[in-house]
Amino acid sequence: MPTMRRDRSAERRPRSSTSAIDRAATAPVAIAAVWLVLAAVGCVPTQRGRGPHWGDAASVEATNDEVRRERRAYRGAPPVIPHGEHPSPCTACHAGQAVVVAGVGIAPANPHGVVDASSSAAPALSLHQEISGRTRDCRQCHVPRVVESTFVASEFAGLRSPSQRGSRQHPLAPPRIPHPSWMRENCLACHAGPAARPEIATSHPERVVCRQCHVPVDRVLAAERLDTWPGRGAEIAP
Amino acid sequence: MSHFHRNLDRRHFLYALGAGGSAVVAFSCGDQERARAITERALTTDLGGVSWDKAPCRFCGTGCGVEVGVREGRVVAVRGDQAAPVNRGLLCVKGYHLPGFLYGEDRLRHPQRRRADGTLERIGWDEALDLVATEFGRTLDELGPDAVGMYGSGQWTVFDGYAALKWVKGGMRSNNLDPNARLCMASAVMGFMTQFQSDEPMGCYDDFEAADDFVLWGNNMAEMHPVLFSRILETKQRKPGTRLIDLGTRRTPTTDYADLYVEFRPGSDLALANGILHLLVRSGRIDRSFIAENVVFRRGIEDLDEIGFGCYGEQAERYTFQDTASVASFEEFAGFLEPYTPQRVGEISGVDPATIERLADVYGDLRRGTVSLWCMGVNQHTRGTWMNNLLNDLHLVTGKISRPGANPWSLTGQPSACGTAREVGTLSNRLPADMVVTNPEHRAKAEEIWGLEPGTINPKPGLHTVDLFRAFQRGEVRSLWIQTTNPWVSLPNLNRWRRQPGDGRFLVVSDIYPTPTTEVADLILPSAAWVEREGVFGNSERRTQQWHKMVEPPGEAMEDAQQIIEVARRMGMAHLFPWPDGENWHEPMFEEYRRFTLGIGKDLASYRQLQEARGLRWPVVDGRETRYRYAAGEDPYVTKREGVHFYKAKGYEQKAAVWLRPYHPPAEEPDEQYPFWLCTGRVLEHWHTGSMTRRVRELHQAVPAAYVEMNPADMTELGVQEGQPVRLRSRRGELVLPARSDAKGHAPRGSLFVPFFDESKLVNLLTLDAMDNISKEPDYKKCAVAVERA
Repeated sequence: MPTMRRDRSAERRPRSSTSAIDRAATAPVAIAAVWLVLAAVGCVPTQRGRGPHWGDAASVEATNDEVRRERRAYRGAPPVIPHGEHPSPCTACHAGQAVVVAGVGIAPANPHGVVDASSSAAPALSLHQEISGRTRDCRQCHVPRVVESTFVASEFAGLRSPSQRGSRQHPLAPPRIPHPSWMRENCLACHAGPAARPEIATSHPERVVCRQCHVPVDRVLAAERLDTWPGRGAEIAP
Repeated sequence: MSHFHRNLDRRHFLYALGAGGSAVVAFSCGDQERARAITERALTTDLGGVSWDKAPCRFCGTGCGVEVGVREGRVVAVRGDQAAPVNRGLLCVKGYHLPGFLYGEDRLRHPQRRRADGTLERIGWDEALDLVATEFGRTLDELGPDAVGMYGSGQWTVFDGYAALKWVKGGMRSNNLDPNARLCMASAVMGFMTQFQSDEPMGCYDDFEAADDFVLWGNNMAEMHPVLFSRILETKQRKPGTRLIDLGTRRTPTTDYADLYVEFRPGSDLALANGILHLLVRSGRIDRSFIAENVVFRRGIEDLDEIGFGCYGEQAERYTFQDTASVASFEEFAGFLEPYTPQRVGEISGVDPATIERLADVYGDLRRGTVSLWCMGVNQHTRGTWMNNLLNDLHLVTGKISRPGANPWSLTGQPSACGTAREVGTLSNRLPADMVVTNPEHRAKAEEIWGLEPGTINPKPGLHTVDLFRAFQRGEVRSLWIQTTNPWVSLPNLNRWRRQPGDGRFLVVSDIYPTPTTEVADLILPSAAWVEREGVFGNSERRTQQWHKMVEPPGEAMEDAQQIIEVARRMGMAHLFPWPDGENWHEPMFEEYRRFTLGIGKDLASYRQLQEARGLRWPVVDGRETRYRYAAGEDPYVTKREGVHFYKAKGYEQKAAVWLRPYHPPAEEPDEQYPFWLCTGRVLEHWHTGSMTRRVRELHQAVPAAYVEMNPADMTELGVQEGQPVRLRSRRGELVLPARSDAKGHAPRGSLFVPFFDESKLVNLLTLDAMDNISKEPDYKKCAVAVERA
């Protein structure tokens, strides 16, 4: 039987546990927090080993890459939703900044949306901004896992994300951006705040115009658009 | 080390070097460059890099551009093509997880023949192809061309469809060739043909930025055409005042974004459209000069006693009904509409009369651009052609047609329903470029292009899909070949088609995975899919998109067109495919096919042009594509300075026909015994019968199984909780499914929705095989069922 159904018990619980919210204690976040607590103790159908990433400090660095890869079919694929469904809009928790739900976990910020006018991708971005602003359309690209099983085993082996940092021209130079920024315009979603992996956290989140100093390596973003095919050629080897 | 693009400047060169990588940029002006690009691609592969090339998405009719990342001979990633005009870099979850569908563990890799005991044995290609040629040849000899058949697909590439058409119609002299697109958009074809005498939309996706109002007729775009829906949402954000009106029989994810949701009783859209026309005509909110200049009126047969539904066992004369047109006038049209008052339409449809007035206000505001969008809700309809006619009528009487942001818009569900089924003409009565087998001039043109003796092509139309399977069931069609489709999941009233292999008939199925259809096949042939072969698709907006082969197919899998060519050669029909063995025949085959399209307003771009472009919208004349057909200044065939010219409609003095089409009730309605409406359809995560998407881990894990969407009040009344099983029973079959009130959409009381992607929960056991008797398209959206606790 599919376990897609949401557990309405979360909605019926009193909201006294809003004290658990570390920040931005809005009602939807409160509901989500209660839901996440229930999820953690197994009252709602999240998947074993796929619950929200709690951030166990000792193993964070070792498991970050693994967790990250496990949620993506290949480098560049939209991550799956690692928790079950709950009644709040996605944007209640996944907003401009990451939200810590004390004792439960971290809801990373929405990485889509800060348009850098210098990006060659700018004209098409508003498409995704609109999408990310609404709850249901997050589901156009991000889907939950409601079962562990597969219909038939797959031999698909997706491109792996490199565990590399951006290279520097010289030791004092700012590192370059080693990944495409397409639909990841909000750099701080991953590189600052509680959701940032320590190894990629920025020391200077207050300087918000990241691309003033950090330039992308990815040629698709760096080079001018090529209008004929074949022509995009190869991406730089990871 | 690499051949750099001449525009690659020093800065980018340094970037490339800095990363220690092998940036390869080549661009093509012909074979030499292409060969070099391939060599360089291979070179990068050796260096551990990923090479990228363009392709259209394999799934729906939107035709999103993707870039396909290949490493070591396997597809390892895709990304939305930012330069593709259709999707501009965005995809939906199916598109993002495209590569997974190629690599299911149970991919068919070798031909397999069924033994007498029902088990399968692996055989070689030579033996398999000889077997097909022998069986089809023997049937032709013994029973003639009416006893062979081929059932194809709107997922066939242009090459597959063209090869099939040539083999069946030019080689075997049979017209028993039909695509699964018959189940999908045949009503839209008949709508366009009866009104414009030329198939396919006049508008293009640019309408999604240009329109002021979007009216969705039974169309859940947020799940079915998500990327196009994103364009609408973007327009809504950018242009405040843009309105989205959702007309449907259930609330869907699309409804969440609608400015107005109108829920109507199933099948009453016919009344609703006539009700809007009634108000427009009565209040004079019509474009009289447009009508005078561009429109004629026609009336068909309306008597319910003469028009049946084509159900199994129905009397033949109602089933073989042929519509005939009689000339009508504007006055007759106005008189015909008189009874469709808001009150009466309200009674039929359950829509509040004031809301009908609001809908008329949308269409009747002649300053605003209106786009009507529809897909399966209107097409899979026992009066689907009529419904298509009425929607086109709404745009013709208001003059909201053939200009940016004002068009009737029929969307398609398969990647080449337009390119292959409609344009190549793999339908039982068709030849390429809208030509038909019943017309001697059309046959002569095809015979001339194909180099065949005059009189070769059979003038008798073949069997349409449902009839083809009925004839196969009866044994009248003895040899049938199915490619790229899964009818034992997708046909209505599935219990009718049960079969045991070895019953004297011969069924060949070409596919990429085992399906319920391969289970009943006598011979299974493994096909190459998507970028495992070269191909061309045509999307909903007349955009023809080409891609190259990028990886080898698994095992011995072979592209569908090549399978047909090999069989034809074994049947002594090598003259149909005169291209030397071992050479790439794709370009010469396309250029031959292209001859059908030139000079008649259906002109396709040259193969070279298509290799370079991210698709081009036909007619392509002098290298330029056409955004708006029939429009002065846009369509190269229109010589007028302004306005429109429906130059293809020679039968209507080059005007478009407005048809008078009445309301008819559905073939089956809920009653005491079967009190619920049943509607079937899709979900965002899965595509068609799920044979591809269910093998993609992320998609399967998101929606692993079918369910029945039910109103919470009905569930309470029945005493079932969320997720508990219920048994659905119709007059034709039964099925147990978990009940859900909050899955995707929201069913109104007395109404159920079941997705059809799940081969272990075959909802088509319940559906009725009632058809639109003009298009012969079945109605999967309306039948009556009973529900009980299971």
